[in-house]
Amino acid sequence: MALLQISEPGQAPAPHQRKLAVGIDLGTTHSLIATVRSGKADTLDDENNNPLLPSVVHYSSIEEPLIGFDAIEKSSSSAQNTIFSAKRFLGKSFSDIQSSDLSSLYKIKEHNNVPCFETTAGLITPVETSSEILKKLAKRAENALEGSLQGVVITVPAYFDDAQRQATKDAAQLAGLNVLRLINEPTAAALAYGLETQSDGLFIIYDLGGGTFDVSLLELSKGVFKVLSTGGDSALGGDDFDLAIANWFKAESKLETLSSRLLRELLQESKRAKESFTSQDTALLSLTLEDGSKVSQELHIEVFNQLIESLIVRTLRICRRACRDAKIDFKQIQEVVMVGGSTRTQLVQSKVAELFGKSPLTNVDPDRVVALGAAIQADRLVGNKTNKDLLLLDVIPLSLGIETMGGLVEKIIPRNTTIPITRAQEFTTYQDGQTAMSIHVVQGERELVSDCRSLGRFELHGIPPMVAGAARIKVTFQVDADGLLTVSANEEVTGKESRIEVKPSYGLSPDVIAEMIKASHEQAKADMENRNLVEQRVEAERFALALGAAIESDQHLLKPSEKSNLEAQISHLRNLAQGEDIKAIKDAIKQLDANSKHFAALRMDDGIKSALVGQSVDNI
Amino acid sequence: MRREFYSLILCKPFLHTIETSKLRCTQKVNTKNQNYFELFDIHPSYPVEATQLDKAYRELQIRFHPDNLKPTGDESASLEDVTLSSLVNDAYQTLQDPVRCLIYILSLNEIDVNLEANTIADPEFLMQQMELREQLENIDEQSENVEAEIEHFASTINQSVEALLATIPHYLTGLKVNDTVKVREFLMKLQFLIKLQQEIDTKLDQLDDL
Repeated sequence: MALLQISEPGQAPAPHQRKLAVGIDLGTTHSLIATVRSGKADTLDDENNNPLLPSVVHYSSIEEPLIGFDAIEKSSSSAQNTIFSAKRFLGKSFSDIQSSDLSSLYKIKEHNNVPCFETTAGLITPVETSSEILKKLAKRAENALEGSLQGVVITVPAYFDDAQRQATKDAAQLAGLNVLRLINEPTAAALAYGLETQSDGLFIIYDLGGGTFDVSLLELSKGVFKVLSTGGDSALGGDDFDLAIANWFKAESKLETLSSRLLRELLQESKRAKESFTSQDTALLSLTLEDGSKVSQELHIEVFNQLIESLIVRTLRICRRACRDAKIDFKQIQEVVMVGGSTRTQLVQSKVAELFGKSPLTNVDPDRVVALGAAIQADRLVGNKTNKDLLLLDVIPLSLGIETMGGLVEKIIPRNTTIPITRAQEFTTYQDGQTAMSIHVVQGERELVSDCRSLGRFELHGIPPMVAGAARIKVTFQVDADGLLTVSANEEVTGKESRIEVKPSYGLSPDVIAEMIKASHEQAKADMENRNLVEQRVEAERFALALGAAIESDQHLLKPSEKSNLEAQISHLRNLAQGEDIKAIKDAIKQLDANSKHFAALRMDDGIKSALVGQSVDNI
Repeated sequence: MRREFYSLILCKPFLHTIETSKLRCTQKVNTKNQNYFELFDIHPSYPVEATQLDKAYRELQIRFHPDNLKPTGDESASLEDVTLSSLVNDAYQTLQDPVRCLIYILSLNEIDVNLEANTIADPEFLMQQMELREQLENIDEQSENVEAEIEHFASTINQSVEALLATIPHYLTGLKVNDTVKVREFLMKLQFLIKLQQEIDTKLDQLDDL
C-alpha cells in the first residue's frame, strides 16, 4: 500500500514556488508539526531529532515562557507555574473545570468568565498556553523550511464541541497563524495512511491516546472521504491503564494513601511497566516509600490484561455505537486504522481485531500519524496540489439545538450531519405583544438543557408586537467547514429584519482576542525590557564587585577622598540596580567606569612597576 | 445500509415544477429558484435513484466545497461557498432520507404536512404503538442477553417501517393535490415507528454507557 503520495516527475512545483504549509497535531501530552516536502509528508524534529514537543509551558515573572522539555525541567521546582495538558481546559467554562478533577492540578481563577491559570506571570488562559505551544512549533518549522508559513491545518479530536474548536482556532490566531482548516484527528490519520488510494469502502479509525479515545467511521467513494459517524470519550486513554496498574500495586502492597509525589512516581513506574509489555511478559514494579523501605511487585501480562480489559471493552462499545449511528455492520468494514500511542498495547490490538474480524493497520507510527495527515491536507488547501479529486467531508460530533419552553432542547442539527450545513427552524412568541426573545444555544444529545453544553445566549429585539403565536422567528444555524457554528435569527411575518448574529464561544470574543494579540506584542516588548533590566543589573553588580575588590587590594594608590568618592559611587550604583530604571543603571555604570579610569591607570602603572622590581635591564 | 425501494417515476402533472434554468457546469447555481432535483439534475422520483444521487452529490461537492475553493483570502467569497456547499449537503440529506424526501416532495406539490397540528384517529394503531413501547420498556436491562433481545425487537420494528415505506409509491401515484388527509395519517404512523427506532437506539446507547 502506498503510504504517502509521491508527485510524478515534473509535476512537483519547484521548491521556491511552493507555499509553505504545515500540519499541527496539538495534543494533550505532546504536539507535533509536519510538512510535505518533495511530495512526502514528514514531521519536523527539534535539535535532538525528536518530533515530539511536550505540551507543557512554564511561566516565570521575568523571562519569556519556556515550552516543551525545558518547561518539564522546571516542573518539579515550580509546579504551579508549569502547565501540563492545557488542551483539557480549552473551551471549558470555570464551572466545567471546578466540577472536574482538573481543578486540583492548578490554581484556577475566573476572569471574565474564562478560567485562568494563576502563575507568577499573571493570569494565563488555556488559549494563551496553547498558543505558546503553537508558536514554538511554528518557529521550528520556519527555521527548518527557511520561510514564513502561509497556512496551517490544526487537528482537533472528533468529539471536540464548538467551544473547544473555537478555542483552538483562537489559540492559532493568537500565535499569528493562518488557519486553513481545523480537521478531526481520525480523519487526518486516514489521509496519512493514504486510504484514498485504496478501493472504495468503509474504514474505521480507532484513536486511543494518553487521555482520550476517539473513533470515526469513514466511507470512501470515488475520491470523496465522507465521515459517516464519530464517537469518543474525552476521559478514557492510556493514562487509565497506568492508573489501573497503580491501583493494583497499591492493593497488592496494602498501601493505603500515597503522597502526591509517591503517587506520581508510582504512575511513572506503571507507565514503564505498561510499555514493557510490548516486548516481554512480566514487569517488575518497585517503589521506595518515604521511610526508605522498598516495595516491589511483579506484574504478569495476563494480570495486566485483566486490569485493562473493561477499559478496552468501553472503547469497543463506542465503536459499536458509531457503527449503529451510521447504520452499518462491522463485517462491512474494509480496514481498521490504529492511531495513538496506547494502540501499541497488545490487548487493544487483539480486541479490536476480534471485534472487526480483521487485523488493524499499524504500520504508520501512531504518534506521528495525525500530524502527517494534517500536513497532507495543509499542502492541498494551500494550493500546492491541484488535484481536486480528493475531498474530505466531515461531520459535527454532537447535536446542536436551542432551548425551548420548559428547559427542553429542540435539536436543529443532529449529530453526524455532514458539514458545512445550514439549517433553519421557525419559532414563535408565547405572549401577546412580546417584542424580544432570548435564544439559548446548546450542544449535546440529552433532552434537558441542563444536561447539555451551553454554548451561548443572545437576545433578538425589535419583534413587532403581535398576538402570541403570530410572530414567525426564523433561527438559522450555520456550521462552517471547520465545524464552527454561527447562529442568526430574524422575524419573518412583517418582513422586518431584526437580525442578530452570534458566534457562540466560551468567553473569548473577537475583541478580547484582538486585545490579547496586541497585549502579546506589548508583552514581547516588556519581556525584552525585562531581559535588558536583568542584564544591566548583572552588569552593575559585576562592575561594583570588581571595582570594590580593586579598591580593597590597591587602596594605597588612592587618596582617602578619592577612595570614599569611588565607594560612594559604587553604593549609588547598587542602589540604582535595585530599581527598574534601565537607563539610569546603564548611565551610572558608564559614569563610574569613566570616573575610575584614573584609578585603573594608576593600578596599571603600579602593576608594571612591581613586575619590574628586581629585574635587570637585560631581562626586560 | 441504504434502504432499497422499487423505483417510481412521478407523473409530471403531480410534481409541481418550477421554471428554472438547468444546472450547467459553468453556470452559477441559482439556489433560490431550483428545487433539489434540479440542483442535482436528476429525475424526480420516489424513491430517489441512489447511485445517480450519490454521483451528482459528489460532483457538486467537489465543485463547491470550501476546501476546493481555497485559498482566496476573500472572506465574503468564502461565505458564499459555505452557503452553496451547505445547500448541497442539505439537499442530499433530504433526498436520501425516505421520510424527509417524501415530505419534501409533498411540499413541492404545495401539500403542507403540518404533523404537529394533527392527531391519529386510528385507535387500533395507537393501541399497538402503546404495546410496542411497553415491550421495549419491559426488556430487562440486567438480563444476560439484553442486547440480543433489543436487537430482535429492533428488527421487527425495522420490518414494519420497511413495509410502510414500500407503500409510499402507491400513495403518491393515486394522490390528488388536495387529498392530504390520507398522506398525513400515513406520515404520522411512519413517524411513530421512526420515533420508536430512535428510542431503541437510545436504549442501546444507555446500555453502552453503563
